[in-house]
Amino acid sequence: MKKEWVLTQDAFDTLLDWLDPDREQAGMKYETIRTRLIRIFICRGCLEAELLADETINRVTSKVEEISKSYVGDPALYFYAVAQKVHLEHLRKAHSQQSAISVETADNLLSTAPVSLVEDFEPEYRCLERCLELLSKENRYLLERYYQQEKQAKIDHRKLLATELGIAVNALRIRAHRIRLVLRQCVLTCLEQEPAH
Amino acid sequence: MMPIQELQERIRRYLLGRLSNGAGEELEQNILTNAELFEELLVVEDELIDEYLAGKLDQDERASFEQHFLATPERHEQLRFARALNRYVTVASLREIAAGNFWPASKSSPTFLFRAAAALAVVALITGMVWFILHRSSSPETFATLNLTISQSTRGEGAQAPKIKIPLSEDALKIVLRLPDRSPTAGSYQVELESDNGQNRSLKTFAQDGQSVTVMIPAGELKRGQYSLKVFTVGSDGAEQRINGNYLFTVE
Repeated sequence: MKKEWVLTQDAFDTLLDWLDPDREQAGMKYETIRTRLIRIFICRGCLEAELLADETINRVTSKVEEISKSYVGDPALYFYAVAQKVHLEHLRKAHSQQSAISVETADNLLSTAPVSLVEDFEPEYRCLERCLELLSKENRYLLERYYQQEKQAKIDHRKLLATELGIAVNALRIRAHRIRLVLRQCVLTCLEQEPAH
Repeated sequence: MMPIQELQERIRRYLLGRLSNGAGEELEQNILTNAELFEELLVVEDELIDEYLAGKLDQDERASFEQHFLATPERHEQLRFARALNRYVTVASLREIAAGNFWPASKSSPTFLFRAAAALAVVALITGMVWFILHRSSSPETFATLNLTISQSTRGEGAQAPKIKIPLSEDALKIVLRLPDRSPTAGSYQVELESDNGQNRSLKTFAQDGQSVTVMIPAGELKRGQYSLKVFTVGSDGAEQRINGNYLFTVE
């Protein structure tokens, strides 16, 4: 990418036009691509997934004037190709930085494994209790029932729950996941508002 | 699109970093362009986390999960949320049992006989569930660790003891008892826990080496008070010999 290139409103508008002639649809496609790119970078174990996704988008935006004339196919796949390069560069940079770190520092880094990040979930639990109050009774009921029971009993229990609700087991699975996602978003918002701990 | 179970398995391997590069890239391209597949990815992520917390991953999967899946702070956050949700569901279940709500109201009302039979079956199921929750021998997943060295003082002599605060956010307290330098070596050890109200109980040895003995107390069993641990070596003839001194700690 040209070092001097700066994202401008015009360039961004050109990107949106390339994604869809309808501005609202284009905006949604942009958000979709960005969200999924972030997810892919997370799945690849990248600590700066959002930064890498934004870098990808910036690079595509810088090229969109030339590519929009000749590119055929789903624009998302062009983003993917650029994301591959961005990731590769990121790995090379990380590797060269790692080689520069002294052995002692590397050991320190390794020894400070973020286990503490996992173990302390009290703030999440406090926020979860508050967020559950905001769920509808039906959704709360579904969530509690869906995640109850263990092992084989859980599978049978979910079949019973699906039958009770009059939906297929996989539809129940998706519905439970969506409620969980809403809850998790609520918890994240709550955590941002909590005083630092 | 491939059958759903095959797809879920492929996503699962991808999330654990076990998919080949080519297959991974193909999946990623589909994730980017297919809304259903993207949602499936998110669902499988949550299910994988739940399986990890339930101890259902085999050794290799667990290693892949911890090394690859948990590589980012975002995933750690997902894990913390899942633990919080787990706890909530467990508490909600026990609350229902305590309130005597053995079966939630159903939209379709069965006959009286069917309901009575269902209620009896559920009582049996829930009794088993409560027993399982209280007595399950599944290993705790997370530990707070307390390292103790032997003291020749007793609690009554006002010895300064390390403190641990409850409630613990971890599943259990692991106590590492450093053996004195000249303590007799033994094949096995016996550890007794004495509380400040005079109650004594034996603790199972969690781990041992030539220099220390480790015991474990589930978080739910920790009560406020002052405690003293005594260590005994157990000979091949079963004879116990106490290692002089006490390991003191306080729970606040």
